[in-house]
Amino acid sequence: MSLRFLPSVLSISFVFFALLADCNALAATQTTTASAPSSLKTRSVSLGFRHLGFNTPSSLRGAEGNVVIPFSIRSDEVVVAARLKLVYSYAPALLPDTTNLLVMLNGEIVTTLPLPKLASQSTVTQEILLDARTFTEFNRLSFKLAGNTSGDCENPLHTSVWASISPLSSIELSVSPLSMPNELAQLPAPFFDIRDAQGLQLSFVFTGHPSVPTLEAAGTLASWFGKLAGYRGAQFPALLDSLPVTGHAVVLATPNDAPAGLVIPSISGPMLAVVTHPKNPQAKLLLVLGRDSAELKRAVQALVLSELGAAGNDGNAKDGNAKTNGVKAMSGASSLLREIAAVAPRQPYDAPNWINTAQPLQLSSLASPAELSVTGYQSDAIRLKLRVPPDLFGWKSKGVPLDLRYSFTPRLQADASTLNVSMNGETISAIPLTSAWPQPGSLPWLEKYLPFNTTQTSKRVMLPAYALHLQSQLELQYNYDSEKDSACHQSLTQNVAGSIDGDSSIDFSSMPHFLAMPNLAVFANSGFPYTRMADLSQTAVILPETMLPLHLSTYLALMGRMGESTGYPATGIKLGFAADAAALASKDLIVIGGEQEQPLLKLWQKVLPVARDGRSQHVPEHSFIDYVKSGWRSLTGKPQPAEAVRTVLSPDDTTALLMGFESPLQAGRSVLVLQANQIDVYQAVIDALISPELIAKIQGSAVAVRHQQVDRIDAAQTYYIGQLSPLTAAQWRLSTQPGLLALFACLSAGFIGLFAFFSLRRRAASRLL
Amino acid sequence: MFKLFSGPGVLAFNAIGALVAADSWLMRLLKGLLLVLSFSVFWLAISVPLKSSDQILFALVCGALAFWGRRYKGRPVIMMLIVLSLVASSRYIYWRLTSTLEGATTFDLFFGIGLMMAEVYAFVVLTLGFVQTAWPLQRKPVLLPRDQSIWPTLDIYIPTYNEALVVVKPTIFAAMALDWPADKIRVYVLDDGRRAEFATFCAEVGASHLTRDDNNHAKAGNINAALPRTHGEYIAIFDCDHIPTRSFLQIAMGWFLKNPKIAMLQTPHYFFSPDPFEKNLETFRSTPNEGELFYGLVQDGNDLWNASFFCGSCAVIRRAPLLEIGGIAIETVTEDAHTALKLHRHGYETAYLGIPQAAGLATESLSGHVGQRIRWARGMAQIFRVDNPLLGRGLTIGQRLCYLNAMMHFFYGLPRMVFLTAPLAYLLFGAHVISASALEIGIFVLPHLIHSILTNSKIQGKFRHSFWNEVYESVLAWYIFRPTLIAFLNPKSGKFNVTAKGGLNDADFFDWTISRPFIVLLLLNLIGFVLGVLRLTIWQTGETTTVILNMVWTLQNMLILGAATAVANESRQVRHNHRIDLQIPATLHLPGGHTISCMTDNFSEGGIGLQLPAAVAIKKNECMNVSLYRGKDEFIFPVEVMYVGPKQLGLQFHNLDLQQQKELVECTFARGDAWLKTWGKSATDVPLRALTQIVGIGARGIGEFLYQAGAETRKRFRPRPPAGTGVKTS
Repeated sequence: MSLRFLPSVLSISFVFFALLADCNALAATQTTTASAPSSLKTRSVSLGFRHLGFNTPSSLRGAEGNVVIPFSIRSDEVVVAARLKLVYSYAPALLPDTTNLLVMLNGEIVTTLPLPKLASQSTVTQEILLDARTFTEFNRLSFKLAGNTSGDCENPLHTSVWASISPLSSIELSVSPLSMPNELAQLPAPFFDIRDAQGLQLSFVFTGHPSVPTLEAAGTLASWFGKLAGYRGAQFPALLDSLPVTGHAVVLATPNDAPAGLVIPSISGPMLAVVTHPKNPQAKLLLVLGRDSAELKRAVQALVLSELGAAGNDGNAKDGNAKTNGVKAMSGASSLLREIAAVAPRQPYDAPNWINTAQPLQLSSLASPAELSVTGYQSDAIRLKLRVPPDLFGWKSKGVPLDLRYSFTPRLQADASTLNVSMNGETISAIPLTSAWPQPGSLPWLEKYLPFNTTQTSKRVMLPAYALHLQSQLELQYNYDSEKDSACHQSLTQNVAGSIDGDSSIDFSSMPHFLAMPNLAVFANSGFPYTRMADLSQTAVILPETMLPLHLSTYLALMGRMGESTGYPATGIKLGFAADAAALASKDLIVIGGEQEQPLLKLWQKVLPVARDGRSQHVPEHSFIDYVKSGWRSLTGKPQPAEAVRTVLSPDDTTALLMGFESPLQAGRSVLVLQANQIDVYQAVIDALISPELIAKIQGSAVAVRHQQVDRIDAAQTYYIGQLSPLTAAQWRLSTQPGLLALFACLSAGFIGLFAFFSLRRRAASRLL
Repeated sequence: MFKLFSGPGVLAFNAIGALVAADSWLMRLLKGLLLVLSFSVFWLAISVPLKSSDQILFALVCGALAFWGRRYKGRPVIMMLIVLSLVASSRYIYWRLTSTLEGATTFDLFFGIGLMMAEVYAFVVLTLGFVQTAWPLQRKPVLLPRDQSIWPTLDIYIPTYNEALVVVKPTIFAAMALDWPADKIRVYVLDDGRRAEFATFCAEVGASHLTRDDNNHAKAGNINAALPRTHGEYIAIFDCDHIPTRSFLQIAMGWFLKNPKIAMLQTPHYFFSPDPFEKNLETFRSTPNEGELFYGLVQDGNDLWNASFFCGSCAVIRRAPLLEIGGIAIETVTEDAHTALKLHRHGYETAYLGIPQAAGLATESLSGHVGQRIRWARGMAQIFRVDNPLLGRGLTIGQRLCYLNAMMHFFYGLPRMVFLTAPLAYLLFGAHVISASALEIGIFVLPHLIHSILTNSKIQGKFRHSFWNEVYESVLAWYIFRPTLIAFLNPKSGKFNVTAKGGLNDADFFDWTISRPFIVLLLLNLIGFVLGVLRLTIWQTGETTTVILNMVWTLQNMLILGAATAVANESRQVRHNHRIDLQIPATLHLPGGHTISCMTDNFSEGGIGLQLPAAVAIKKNECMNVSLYRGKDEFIFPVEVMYVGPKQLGLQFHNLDLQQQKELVECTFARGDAWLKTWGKSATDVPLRALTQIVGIGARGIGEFLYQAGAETRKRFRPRPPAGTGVKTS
């Protein structure tokens, strides 16, 4: 997901790129100083360029280049004062009289910075006041270099014309909260604001003993918010019978079951309402109400599904567009929800955020035509996010065929222009962009008959299966060779363009779904295997009977992750307690709770991948018998135990353990255990689940999570999920068993040979009769 | 029963035997299931990808089993070796087809696909060859009934066109001497040359001389023209230089009376003179010649599938079926095979009897040999087009496969040339014809090669030594490639050419014309090898293992081409009549009235060699008589002493009259046991020994070529010798 901004490429950045880009920023690097809940109080926000996605210095090269830095302001806040702290450097060779750096905000020139000759190569820091009135919700701060190195005759692409904007630059804002009406039509704002690039923090308020359906409803709602928050990450602190001191909150209540200190309106059915926090006029509460918990659940379903129905949102791949509006049909402070039409049951792997791998996928469904086109000599790559189901089985795969249809500006003569295809930064193929005229020495009539299609506008590229990551990015870059001409010539005409036809397709259908488990990496990245059904209808969460707020926060954070992964609310999630385990046996389970609170852990002690002290339960086998056993295991379809990582935990270490294993209740089902020996450690788990750095470390079958630290302690894989065709399955299992395969060859030689012997002997006898 | 199967092995062996024999539906079901299972496992063994070290382990286990198994005798072992070999080869081809074409550039593919197709061809021919030779039937002769009155009537056909009478004479004599009731046999000389000399001779010896007005369709037309003019129930056909033994009919006819569905019975073509390979490589009687594989194994193997075919001579055909299919086939230049194909399509059976009952002269010069093979290849390609054995009615699967292989075999020209040039694609042009590392290629191709060599050596043993196939094919590849291609594209084009026989090489000479293709290939491989050395040393182009792999390949090519070149170095043919080893009792009647009982050493049409019990005072050019025996009958021939050695005499027959000539043939060529001792008696193959032999011959060939090239160059720069004495040059 993280997108490194290529310093060498100057580009017109679209808002959404920047938004995609700064997921690194969401680890609460916010320097906001939260102010007391007063309408007069302002808070100051520092938007560092680094946190806006510009991790490396942005270069302005040549007279054509510019840098655009997009940022946005929450709709419930207004900018009262702003200044730009600009850190930059520039080429010493620039002529001081004729060159300067233009700073623009939303198209208006803020200032023109002169670039005097510098004594040495150093950075310059300059503070520039920005007019607060120029700010809107979505803003573009842009820089442009008007540079010259040598009087009249100028090569605009000359390498000595450059300036560089440091990522240390920042926009310092003073924002004041706006008093907002209680308006459902604004949903999901202000609870989630698309303009806010920070992680979502939204409290969920329950009564002291929330019912199971209420918790299920809360989970669904949390996954919906998780889906909206997307890359920003979301956490949902749970509160029992109390309202949060700061920030907005969601309250789930029924007439008999309302948190203390809150007067709820009269309820006549499933309904939603927005009210102002009784103690904090800046904060709003989203009331999800029903006469009983079933109606409450219906209210949540109506909220999360009506949006889907109304907006036809097919996922938030195109981040900025579809999700700003919530429930369109609702308005006013409260609204009784009409029944929503039944939704068709989900199919496996149909998560809106995931690529449909059952059939070839047209690129037009991943990006708009505008996004598939580029212009100019130094155009940015066309980037396509490919979020694929994590259990695609790439063994023996010839790769994923990408049938590219593309067009480009023909070259005047043969040159080095190419269309580069790369995946996650790894170059896969470079397609030459041919000249309009046949190259000397080429034989077009012959090429027609050669085994490869040399038609200039289509090409099949095989994307190797190994290059495919859970969240891959396909990059298509037009590299136009610029004509090298004499120094004093016309400036470059930016008349080159390239576009990828939306009919181009990518086909994953040859890859079966099959994965060795447990695999915490796919869980941490994609919520797999739970997200196999996008509505989580095959998942049950088992909570401890004695629920503490952090247990619930953890549950809600997990649901948020699932929503982020699938792009679909978890409308099918089931909840239960240890006693319900048997009834939920047919589901994939997530078990939350420490040894004291969660009796299942004692019950399943033997099957856990690691004991509480971190010792692996799968000791690698070494004797001859074990070798035979391991051969048998691979024949019967069990993965080999891996060498354990021997991290021994002391019992009083405050760690949480994340463990995956096959469900003891039903083969082929997965269990994830999330246990902490101290309740506070759950917060570390929640933090880890929204931190890209820590998510990357969650691997294997068991990890220990401490504050901002994740250690893998076991990697044994003990079962598979998914299906292979019998032949592929047999081939795959034998591929690591040469001795067995040789035995097979000899057995078939023995049997077929003898069979042939006796058959031919009979035939020979009958011939000689 | 077989040493290989002992203890529990016997149990499994017998169980499978019982299963195959069982006919109940339950057993059939079980049989089917087990076969499906076995073939699934077989498929897995071919298709499961392994990492390199595992592939080596896999190959070692399979290879070890094959090496262990081949020490045992018996057909079950051969069958298992065949399946193992098919695993190794299929695994290689599967790997080649699925994993070695990726990532190749168009340039690489241009060469790579060519090699790939050649390899697929070789694989198909290998597999079909296994089917064809899995079980030589080894038919034994059937005794004729005592009652001669139920023996059928026979016509003996001896078609001739332009061969000298002296060549045909022994055949006619031998045919006249065939053991068969005189009233039930007639000998017909079908003379397309319409020569008076033949007519006179036939009249003198009592054979019928048949001629026709035209020469349409050559030999086939000749026989067809004779068919309505003769009336025997059976027709035995002998080429004019194939001398039958007296017992031919006694041995061959039994099967016709036993099985009325048999329409044709073929016996081997035996050659008492060395073919050009044997002559020029000096391997006569030590290494099986090119024809032995066919008559020793292939025809016998075909017989199991009821697919032995007619070879134009030394065969008996039943008249009625022959007339039913319209006589000898005339559509192609290999009328014999096509005739058999037609008989099979009509539901008749054919039989092959692997007992040499006729013998003839082998083609003497390499050019003659090449010409003959071109005709066969063209004919087979024609049949493939006009009467494809895979299509049409009336054939069993086994017959189709046997015919298919017989025809496909002759398409080896292009693939062989591809193999002989493939390493050059890399060494000369840098093309990576196989998109894999040298190590990977090695660990897949070596099991394929080693298993197929081992298995074929086990199957072919006495009839074809390892690596000789490469030599035989390399000699002919270039010559056979164009005619087969043309015949394949247009089966009607081209003309019939008669095989020239009986020519005489008056001196040793190097046949520059015929050897041109293999010299070009040899030089190309030499250049490739030198470039390989340069790549390794001076240029340092990297990819060391790939370079070495390709150099080893060129080295192998050079040796094989060297052997082919050695064949072109024609050695002189000393005498008109070939000397044939023969040890039979003889009596020497000295002029003084003394008689010495002795043994013959060898004989030819013109003379006889004797081994004397003790030295005798006999002078050169003395005239005397020698007695030879046919059973109890004694025949006396006047001779002149030509050579006197210690205990040895060389005698030349002196003015034999017709009767004596006939009697001489009866006592020598026509003896029933004349060829039994030497036929199929070559040493059994030992692959490494064969390799050593080929390396020796190849090296010698390269040396001879260099020497001859040097001589030729010197000659060109010397003043021209007087006209008429020049050695034949190109």
